[in-house]
Amino acid sequence: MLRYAARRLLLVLPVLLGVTLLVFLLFYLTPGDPTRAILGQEAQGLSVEDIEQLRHQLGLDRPWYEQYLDFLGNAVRGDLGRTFRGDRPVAGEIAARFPTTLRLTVISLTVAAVVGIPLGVVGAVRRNRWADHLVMLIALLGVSMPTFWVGIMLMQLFALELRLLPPSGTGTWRHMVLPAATVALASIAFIARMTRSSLIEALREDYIRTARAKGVAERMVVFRHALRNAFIPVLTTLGLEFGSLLGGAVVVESVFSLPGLGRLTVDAIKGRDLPLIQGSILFVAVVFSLVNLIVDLGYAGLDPRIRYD
Amino acid sequence: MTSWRRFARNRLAVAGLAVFLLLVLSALLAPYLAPHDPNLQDWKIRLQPPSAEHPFGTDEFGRDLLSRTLYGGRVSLVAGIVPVVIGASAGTLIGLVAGYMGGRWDQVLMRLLDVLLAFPMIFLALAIVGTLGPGLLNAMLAVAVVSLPGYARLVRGQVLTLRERDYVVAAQAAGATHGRVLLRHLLPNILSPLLVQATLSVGSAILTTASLSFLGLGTQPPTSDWGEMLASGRQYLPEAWWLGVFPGLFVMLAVLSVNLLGDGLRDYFDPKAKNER
Repeated sequence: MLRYAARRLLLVLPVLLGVTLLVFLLFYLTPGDPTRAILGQEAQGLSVEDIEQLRHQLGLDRPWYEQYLDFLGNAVRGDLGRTFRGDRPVAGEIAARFPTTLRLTVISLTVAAVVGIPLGVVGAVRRNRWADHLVMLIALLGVSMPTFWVGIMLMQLFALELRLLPPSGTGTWRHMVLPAATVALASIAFIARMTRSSLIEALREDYIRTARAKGVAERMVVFRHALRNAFIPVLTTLGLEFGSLLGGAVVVESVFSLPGLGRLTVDAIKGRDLPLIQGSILFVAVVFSLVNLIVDLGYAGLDPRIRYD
Repeated sequence: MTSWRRFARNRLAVAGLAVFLLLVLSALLAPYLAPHDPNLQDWKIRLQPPSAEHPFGTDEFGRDLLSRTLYGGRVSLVAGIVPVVIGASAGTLIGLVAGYMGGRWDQVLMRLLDVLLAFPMIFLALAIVGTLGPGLLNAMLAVAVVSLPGYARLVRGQVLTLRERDYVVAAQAAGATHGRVLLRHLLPNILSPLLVQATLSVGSAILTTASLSFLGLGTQPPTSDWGEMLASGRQYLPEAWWLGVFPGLFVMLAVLSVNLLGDGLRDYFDPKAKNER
């Protein structure tokens, strides 16, 4: 297990390096002059020499690989530069916004698992009966509805018409109910589908026939024998879903006016605040890679076959 | 049994195909079908609920929502199809080269794709739109890049299993060039899984570009698509529910119909897998 973990860790390093290079190059190649972007309105009163001097101070006249190594070195130490607008540390902005996004993502993932897995089990056990058709219909609708629309409709119904929950903002747990439900919906659909097909496959194994033949109660067969084995792919799905939940949070934060990382990124793009866009995208990619690493290690811990490939 | 009859046994898939064709047709024929000029403003009739004259109601400028929805479909559907064509072509090319050439080519290309896959999808799209600036074209390009690794991996996997087949080896032995083997012998044999994947991803492309438009990073007013319509109508929602319901409903119909069609195509090409699901 330790050897597998070490190998997996070694594999993630080049990917992370690639991620920093890609993020750096995307913004290095951005059309437009970053020096003028930093100056904003002030650039108009300055001479060409003044701007050249600032560019030199900022190190923007050096070759790209030197700039990249600087960027990488700073990023490793947690320094992601300063925002164009307001001249604040990018890392500080991200640190202030990430907890909201993380909370939303974790709550939604929990809801999605708690609802999606039982739905999938019902679908598999009652395969091709009306309960199964209902589960599949929910799953199909869940992946076809745009997140922002679901959010707006839930807000309209529960906050504005019925006045049961606050329409936007943060503060109490009640503020999180609608956003979390919105983000969770698509994942419920995905997890239910995954659980269903994984359990159907497990129920067809020889050891299930053996268990039934020796008279084990059907309930025990499903929950003890089949579900345990069907659970491993579902766990991987949960890890992958973390990424799309982070993505869902981008949209949902905008719908419900939550001060999270997604909204920070969207606002940064609208304001052309390059260091802030760069920093938040890099941060999300690193978090996502680490989550995938943890899921892979958990997977290998649960299923010894993975370790020997 | 003809292939259409075999496909048509799957009623859901046929329904999906019919609804999607209907949506495409209504977008194409928008100039003839729309009851009003989609951009005609009339302050006397702003925010009117659905009526016989305006079946979907009117928006904050008094524009006819049904006409705007039909015209918006032109943008939204194009935004769902164009990125898939670009992403699938580029991804297929990469997958063909990686799988067929193997060795160092394969290593380098796959590691590059790993980097793209290290980003949650919408954040990669945000990074690209953030670099190029907001706008429909850039949003479509972003969605294309995001979908690219999926095709490349699919095609590479298929090529790896096919390249040892006798007919490929025979073609090589007969002196066929790499290009000929790839295009004449390998590509035709991976078209069906590719078609399934492409169909299914039209749905997610429509969703992603609509989301980007909703966030204000895709289609820019006065051009409008379903996502942008929802974003601009939002602030009037408490009183004007129709501004929220109809554009979203059309996104859902479009995505649902291509998903049903994609599932149907998958069952059609791979009937064995159907029994396992």
